[in-house]
Amino acid sequence: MATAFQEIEASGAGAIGIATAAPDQAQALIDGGIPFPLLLDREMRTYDALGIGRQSLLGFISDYRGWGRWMRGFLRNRRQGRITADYSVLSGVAIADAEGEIVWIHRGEGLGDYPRLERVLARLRELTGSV
Amino acid sequence: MTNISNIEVVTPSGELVRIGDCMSGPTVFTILRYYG
Repeated sequence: MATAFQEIEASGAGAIGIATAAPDQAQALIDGGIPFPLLLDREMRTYDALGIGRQSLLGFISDYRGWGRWMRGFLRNRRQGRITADYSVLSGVAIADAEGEIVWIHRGEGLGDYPRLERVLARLRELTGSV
Repeated sequence: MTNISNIEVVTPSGELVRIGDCMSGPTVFTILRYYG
């Protein structure tokens, strides 16, 4: 999302990252120039509120689409850092309006399952009315 | 609809904050397992 931040900002919105761990990794990203807040939610209240689920061990191992995404990222030199959280936690992307109401959400169903950036920006432009 | 602005989280430095305190308008949230 860091690479898309300028487009998000141009749409009149901000960005926030939320993860279960880890403070030192978040701080390293901030020190590396991530231009938006990174927050930690160890108790997974945000995940529960957004209905972001977990993946069973069997589902994790047999998630061939997820492993394919992982391999594509690996080949693009997008290497995964040190694992510091529960493997079973899934990911997601959500858009909230200015009051914090969630108006759109993508709940990941496997490893590295994120929506295409164009889809997120299109929804964002609908919300903010920007072109 | 779900509102997440009152959920309490922490910053990397350990400060307790509400998500809404970190928002200044419409916001895209990226939800990750961890920052790796």
